[in-house]
Amino acid sequence: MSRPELLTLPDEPTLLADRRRAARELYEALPVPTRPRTPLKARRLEAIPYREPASANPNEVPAALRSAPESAGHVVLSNGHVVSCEMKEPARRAGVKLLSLADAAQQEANLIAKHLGSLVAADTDRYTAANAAFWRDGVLLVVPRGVALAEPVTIVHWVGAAAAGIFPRTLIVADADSSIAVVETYLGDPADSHRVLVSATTEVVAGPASHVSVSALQQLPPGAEAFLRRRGRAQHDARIDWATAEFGAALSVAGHHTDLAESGASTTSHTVTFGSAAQHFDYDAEVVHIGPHTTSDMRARGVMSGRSRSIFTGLSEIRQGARRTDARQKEETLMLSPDARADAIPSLLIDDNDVFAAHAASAGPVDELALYYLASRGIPRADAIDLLVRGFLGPVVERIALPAVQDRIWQAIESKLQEERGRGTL
Amino acid sequence: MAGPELAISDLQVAVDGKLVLKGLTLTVRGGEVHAVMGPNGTGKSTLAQTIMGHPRYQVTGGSITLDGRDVLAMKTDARARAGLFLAMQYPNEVSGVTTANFLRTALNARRDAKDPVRLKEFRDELDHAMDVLSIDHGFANRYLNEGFSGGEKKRNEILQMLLLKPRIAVLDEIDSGLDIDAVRIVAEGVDASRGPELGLLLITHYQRILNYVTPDRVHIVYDGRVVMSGGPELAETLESRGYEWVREELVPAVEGSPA
Repeated sequence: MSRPELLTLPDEPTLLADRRRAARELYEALPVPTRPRTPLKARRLEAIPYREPASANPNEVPAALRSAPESAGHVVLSNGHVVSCEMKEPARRAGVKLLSLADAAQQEANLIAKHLGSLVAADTDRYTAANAAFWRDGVLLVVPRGVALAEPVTIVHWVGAAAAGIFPRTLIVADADSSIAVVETYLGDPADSHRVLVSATTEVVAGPASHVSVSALQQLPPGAEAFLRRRGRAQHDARIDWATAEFGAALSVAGHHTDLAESGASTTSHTVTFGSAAQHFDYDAEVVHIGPHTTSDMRARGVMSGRSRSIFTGLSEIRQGARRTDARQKEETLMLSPDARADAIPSLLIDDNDVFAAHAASAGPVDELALYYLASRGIPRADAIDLLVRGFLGPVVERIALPAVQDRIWQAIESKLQEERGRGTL
Repeated sequence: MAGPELAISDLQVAVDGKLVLKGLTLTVRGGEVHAVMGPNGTGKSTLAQTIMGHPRYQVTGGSITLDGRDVLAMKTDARARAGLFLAMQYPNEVSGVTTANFLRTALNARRDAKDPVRLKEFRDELDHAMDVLSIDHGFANRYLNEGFSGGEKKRNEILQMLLLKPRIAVLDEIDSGLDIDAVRIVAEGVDASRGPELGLLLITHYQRILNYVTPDRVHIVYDGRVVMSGGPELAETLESRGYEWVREELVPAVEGSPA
């Protein structure tokens, strides 16, 4: 037999093992996805030996990432395996559960059976199927009814030097009236350019009147080919806030999708992208208004330099019966180089007539007259562009509710700007 | 220490291939206020933008020096750091960049990277300059010129001048579009900055700002040249007799004279 045996977790419950096998069949059957503006076949992803399961190498994870003093709980994954999972006393006392997915498969079998894979379907594409078939570990976070945590739960996904395929999964279940913020960071050594396929999923089940905030910072090493799929379902009056930042990897096919399933549900999303060299970002932001009186506000700003390429596809779908909904999206790109390319494709699909929906997209180069104005005050061109880039991204970064996430994104912008100066492109 | 000297000699400038300045000569020294007056379209703003190095203006002849250094060989930002300042007629709006952050960056561009301006010192100086110009302190945290009224933009230009302390400042129509109270406030700000270390070139269409800032010299520019220079009384003559007087009496004399 040419296919290697599919690895299951030790004592994996039958149901999960069955799903894993089904996902494996899907994976084998699904072709490399065809994306209109991302020629995936040409990237020869199949040349990466990603099916061989990567093992954990906790020593590679920088010490600074192993703890997070201002978190309610902190999980560190190395190559898709949880290597530490800590929760502070207040969260524990409140009944919050923070588990490695491998442990949760045993301890929270019913919850896992009910929710894992319920939102990000294995058949989304070949690499989502790969995630559902090959996953080794991930995170389960359960917030009980009425519990509000002031500090976020932080999750670090470290991509190590020897890994070829990494398939973590995160499942967040927020019960009614709860409130939680989760910050996921995907990163590795910026000097490590070996090719690695990362396919990660995050699912958010937001119970009635809950408030879940999910931030995801993608700062993967330069050889990474990433598929990051996030999807949330907001029940009655629930709110999901997304803040995503795309800075790293060679390729990132990522996105977030929100189902506003019941009346009064709402979502906001803020996406910041900074592309340089030959980076390629293909991002889908989608919201489906199913319940009436639901609202969505989606904003994205990107800066593109070098020969980088970005595609941002925003979709606001309003289903029949989702009356009195309000859907807005706005995408703007600042081009630092004539060789970079950005496509913003906002779209609205409206099947009810008592709604408000708006979209806007724009892309343009740095304003030379603004540069002249700044130069006339003695500011050198590189510093002026630096100022304009920060000024361009600032309004979106500053709308992100979590100050800690804002800081992290500013740091990421800072290192990208340093990189650009090093290349002499500023 | 010798005060600054900006010397413009036989300056010829083309815009989009069309000659606008046709041999303009003018020298401004520290402690002096020169007013450049003239009807619209005679090259006053071209002069201002050329001094600062706007990319649209091509110098086809003549020279500009600051203390003997060739200004035309410098990039715009280097000109500013050498001590030139232009208060723009139409300042740009710069989204996302606060006035305070912008000014601090501009000040730090003049200092050693290892010795940035101290925040407290900067804030105190900024607050003081804002008080001089009757600008609400909240403006420091607004995005540069974004949503500012015409008068607020002009005051913001003078605010920048007060903080950046140039050696030669060119004020391009700093009084246009302002009501008389705003003209007075702006003029007081300009007046507050006068001293032996600053030479001022005031470009204006109207005489009214000169009621508050008395010039040492007045130059009338017509068709790309200085056609007459004189003392402050020249501005008054111009005010009472109008630009028609320039056209009818001064220009034929100039155009009729041998080049």
